[in-house]
Amino acid sequence: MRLVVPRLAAWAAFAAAILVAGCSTTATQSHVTELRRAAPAPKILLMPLDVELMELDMGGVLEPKPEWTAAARGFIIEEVRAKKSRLGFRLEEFPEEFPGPPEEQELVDQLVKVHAAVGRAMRQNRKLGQELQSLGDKPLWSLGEEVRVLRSRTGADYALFVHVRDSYASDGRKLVMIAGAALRGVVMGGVQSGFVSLVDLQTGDIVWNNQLGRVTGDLRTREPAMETIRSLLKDFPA
Amino acid sequence: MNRRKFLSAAACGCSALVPGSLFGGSLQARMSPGFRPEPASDENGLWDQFVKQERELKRSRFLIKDPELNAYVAAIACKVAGDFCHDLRVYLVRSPYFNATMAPNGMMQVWSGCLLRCQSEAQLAAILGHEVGHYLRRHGVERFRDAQQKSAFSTLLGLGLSVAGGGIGRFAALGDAFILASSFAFTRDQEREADTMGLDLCSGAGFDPEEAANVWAHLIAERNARENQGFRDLVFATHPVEEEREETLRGLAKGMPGCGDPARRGRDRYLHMLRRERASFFADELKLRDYGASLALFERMLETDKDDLEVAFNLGEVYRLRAREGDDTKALESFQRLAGLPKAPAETWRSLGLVRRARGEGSEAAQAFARYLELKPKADDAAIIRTYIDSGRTS
Repeated sequence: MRLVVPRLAAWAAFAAAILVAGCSTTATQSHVTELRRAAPAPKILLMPLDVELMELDMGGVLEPKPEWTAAARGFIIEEVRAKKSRLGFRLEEFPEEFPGPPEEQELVDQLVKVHAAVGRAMRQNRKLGQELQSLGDKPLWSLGEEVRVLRSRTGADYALFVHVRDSYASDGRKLVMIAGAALRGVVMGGVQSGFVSLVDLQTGDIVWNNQLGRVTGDLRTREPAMETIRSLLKDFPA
Repeated sequence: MNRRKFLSAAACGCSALVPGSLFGGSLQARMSPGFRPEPASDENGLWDQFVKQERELKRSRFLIKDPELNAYVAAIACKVAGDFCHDLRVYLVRSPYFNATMAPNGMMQVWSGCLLRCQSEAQLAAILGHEVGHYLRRHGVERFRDAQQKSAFSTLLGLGLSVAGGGIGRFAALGDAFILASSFAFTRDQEREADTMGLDLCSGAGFDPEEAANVWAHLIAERNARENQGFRDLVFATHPVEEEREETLRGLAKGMPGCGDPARRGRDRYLHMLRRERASFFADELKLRDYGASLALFERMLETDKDDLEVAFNLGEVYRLRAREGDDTKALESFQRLAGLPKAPAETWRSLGLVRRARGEGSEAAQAFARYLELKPKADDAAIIRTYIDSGRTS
């Protein structure tokens, strides 16, 4: 009776918010300078990537682009693997089939969504140059203790969540942007936004978070994509 | 019969028989079986979103697992969809509202509230046929493109206005309004198309086409009985006015084979397949606490079959749970009448006990509770019922 639809409108509103907030920002917030070391090296679980690339058409409707998304995912995984060799942690990439019952698989889906919501809240509430807000010793931002299931299933100490929403102006949109500029106005183009978090799998707390929001950058092709991903993973705790 | 052959055959038959048909005859599918969107197309992008949703849906705790019921509903969908059977996947979802959804990639959801409200296989087939109609007409991508066109138009219009002196600020606002307004629900014209197409498919698959109109008659009665009239169902918000829809469907069905034929309704088989899940559907319905609508629903179900004791029990439950002035008497009467029947659900006695207990009739309550435990000694709530029995005796 109804069509189920992706909520593109909400995304557009968010993109507009970035534009208002400023052109290019990255902000790292961290509770840890060093990862907890279980012998011989901390183990990090890379969660299913929550990544979507879209094209912004002439009128401002976002069209999902699975080909671009697939390329971007490949680049992100590549860079995380490179980080692993450089920083010397152990990495487990989330398996296609989670080795647990369906309820736990559902929990993984939900955690990825919770991370998206918490990450957005962090963005809205952050103050530039400030550490992760905390209540005394306890970090304020957490995904909840349910994450312990991940620890017991994989033996990982931390989980790395990656959330990226990227949009690129179509040719038609670019024309409208130029026309808008000629009329001394601003017509919104593509926006690159994302955040990554490192979550302590004992407590669910976000111990490190990096936010990226700008109107430049490109995840579709290797060179610029690597630059974006490095910005996203900047100041990753060693 | 081959579905496409049927559709083209019906195209002749129908326009001749039903001159009042909205579209002057039957509609053609806008795809062939096994359809996949072109790679790198907008439709492919749209599909991909739903492939992700489907992956999540598959592991949702709200899926109804009952394998027999799942196979049964899938088989009806198959029968209705004909050659397109393998392009569709049906998921039964526990959600107590009347709704079914169709995604552009063939992921169909049927909610438990819909299964509870259907009174026959043909009624369910009518709903599935409607959803298949959305799929075959590619309404999802049509809607998406429509939104794109409208917003592009408004953007250009805005640019034009700002050149004419309206200012760029006004221009930006115009564009945004359009994006938000196109919330991607199907349009009423698309709903009408899906209705027409669904009806053809159902009648062609051997179901009584009039049952489609009966679904709506049912929902109209329920809507009118709703205590909070401010609440509009998800369905009602986007779909053609219900009365118009019922009337159109009934008119169209009249010219079709098998119209009004009880042998083509499959009521008994439908209820048989629902038997293991139905009690939980009733329980979910009652939890909505929309008692006026529930009363209308149950009373109508009893009109179709006055011997459906499960419905009769739940009608009593509405009164017991609503607990307004005089409701306890009505509940008591329902449960007492049921208790006199040999096949009444065991829970009748529990509810009888609860009403008695609320009225302060301790010893009668204890008797009823004892009977419940006799019939269902391993009931989940046996322990608390025993405490009720003890307190009843001492009071």
